Amino acid sequence: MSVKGSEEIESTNTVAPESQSAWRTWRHRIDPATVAAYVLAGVIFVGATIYNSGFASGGNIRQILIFSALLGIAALGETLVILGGGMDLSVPSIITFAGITIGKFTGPSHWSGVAGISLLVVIGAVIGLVNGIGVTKFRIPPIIMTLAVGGLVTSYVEATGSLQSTASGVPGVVKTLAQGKIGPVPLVVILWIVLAILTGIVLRHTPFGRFLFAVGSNPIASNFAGIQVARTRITTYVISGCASVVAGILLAGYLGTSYLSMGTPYLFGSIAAVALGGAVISGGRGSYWGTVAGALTLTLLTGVLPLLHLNTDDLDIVYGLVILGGVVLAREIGQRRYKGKVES
Amino acid sequence: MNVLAPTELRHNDELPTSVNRRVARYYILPATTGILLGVLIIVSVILQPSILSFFQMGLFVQIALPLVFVCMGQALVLLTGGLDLSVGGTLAVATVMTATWVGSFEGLRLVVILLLGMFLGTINGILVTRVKLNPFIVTLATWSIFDGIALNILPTDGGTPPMGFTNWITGTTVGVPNSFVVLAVAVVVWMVWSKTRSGRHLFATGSDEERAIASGVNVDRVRILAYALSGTAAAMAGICLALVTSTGSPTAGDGYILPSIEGAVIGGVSLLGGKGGAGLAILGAFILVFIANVTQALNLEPWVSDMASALLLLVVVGTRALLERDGAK
Repeated sequence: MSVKGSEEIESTNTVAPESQSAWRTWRHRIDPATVAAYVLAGVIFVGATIYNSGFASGGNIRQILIFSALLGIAALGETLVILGGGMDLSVPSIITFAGITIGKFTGPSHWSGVAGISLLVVIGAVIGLVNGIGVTKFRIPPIIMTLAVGGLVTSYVEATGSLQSTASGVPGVVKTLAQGKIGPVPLVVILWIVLAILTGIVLRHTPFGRFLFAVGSNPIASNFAGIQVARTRITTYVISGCASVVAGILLAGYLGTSYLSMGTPYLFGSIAAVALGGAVISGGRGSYWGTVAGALTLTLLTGVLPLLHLNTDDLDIVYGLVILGGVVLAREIGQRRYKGKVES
Repeated sequence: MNVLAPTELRHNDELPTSVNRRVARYYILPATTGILLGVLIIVSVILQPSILSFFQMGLFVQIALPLVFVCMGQALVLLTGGLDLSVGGTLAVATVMTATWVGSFEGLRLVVILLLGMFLGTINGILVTRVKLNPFIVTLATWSIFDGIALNILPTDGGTPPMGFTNWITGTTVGVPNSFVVLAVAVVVWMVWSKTRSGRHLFATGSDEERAIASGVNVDRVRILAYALSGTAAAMAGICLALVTSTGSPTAGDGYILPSIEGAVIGGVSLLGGKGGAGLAILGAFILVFIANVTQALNLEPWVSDMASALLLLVVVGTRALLERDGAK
């Protein structure tokens, strides 16, 4: 690996100076692990299309994009939390909570639905705040804190007894949001792209973003450097709570119904998407664009397996193998890049 | 702690504050866990005095056995500073194999299932130590893989575990319920093993890895052993679950993953490694089972039990974190 790394540097040295600096800048900006995640998603898509041309039909692509968007939005907060060195296991509980509770805001006017969405986002932020304060101020390990808070949220949902809201139980405005389209593109996907661009800008071009990477890679040094470690981490949990609420509301709106286990797949999915996107799970390295690729890969796999006449049980096995392979791949590529940088 | 003789402590009034704190912290874990469990047992007995009969107690332990074993296994991995989410998958594989694998040589087959659990755990251990992947991601992935294997063996709930073993675990030996025997064997094995060299290496690896390496502990081997034993314990839990419920369910394991962490941590095992033990995890598992039992006896809905467990987890871990912070000052 080190041999290849030095070759790479020698070859870049032969390029003319001005184009070399431009290439250096771009090479610095684009994380190879993220590129690898997109290549993985692309290979699956192209492979499936070659195998069965119906896979690339507009309806199928739309379906895959919608489910990727739901997973991607749920994994947005998880990405930030993991970047800051934490972990959020309360995502599935909050998704279920939001999906079921939005059914209570079916008033005569659309304003009822809008009020419901706003209120739930605020509640999601409060749940995230509780997570963040427990982790930072009370020093409870993130896994335990978010697990317990998730348990409390779930028991609240069970206690209120509304285990199932029927199709009419989802406010019209939510259904419009989740099922609507602008031209051929679903609204959910547009929302996802907007959120992804926003997150990308926040991570790269704001103090919060830079603090987050610093906190995730070395909280003690960050503290000495004057970064508000606790505040930065709490913010990630608050964003995660809000993102989970949005994902839950949209999921209920898209399905037209909600049930107690609707959030369950997102525990696995949100973390797996982040890992496949090339982020380091202990924090400090990764990007939301990587998570986007991870969400696409996971959703594509779900769509591909029926083509190969494989069942859901085989899907579980393929998911596991792809995650292991993807994480190893991302690490090897990432290490090669870092090695190159150190040597140059 | 051992360096200071008791007389010295008595003579010097200034010195012991920090020592006392350390002694207090050494005993505070088992003490709080024990008191908590004691209170729950007393409440349970007051609510339903019938539980005091051997038959009822045997039944109670039977129901608790799967959780007890996954918590023990989880505790071993947590002790080394790792985490094992794949216990659910291993449990599922063991349960469906116990339920579908009938015929001759049944005892031998149970041993094979245990060895398989050990093998699955070893895969986790190798991926964590040799391939150097994050334990959370490794066991998340293998959980999914093992779940898929279980679903391939038995797609839906069903099957019948060997009748002989089902009858044995629900039966008694000279008046003592056999579930007690299983539990006692588990406790004794842990107590003996934790005092041996490899048992102590487990604590050494978790509490200070660099010092353990400097002392000649092969930490990678210790970690692999912890994951292997966690797999074995999960397989044991799966076997018990199949025998107690007389059926096999490929999705039964998923419900045990988070409780396994919950039970171990409530029992006093630290997620940071090095503190606690599988014995305390057994107490933690029983605390969870008793909470569910008391809720049931009070005719409350299941969510009360979920909420109580979650709150207890927060209170226990929060209190310990604060105590340790004060102690460190």
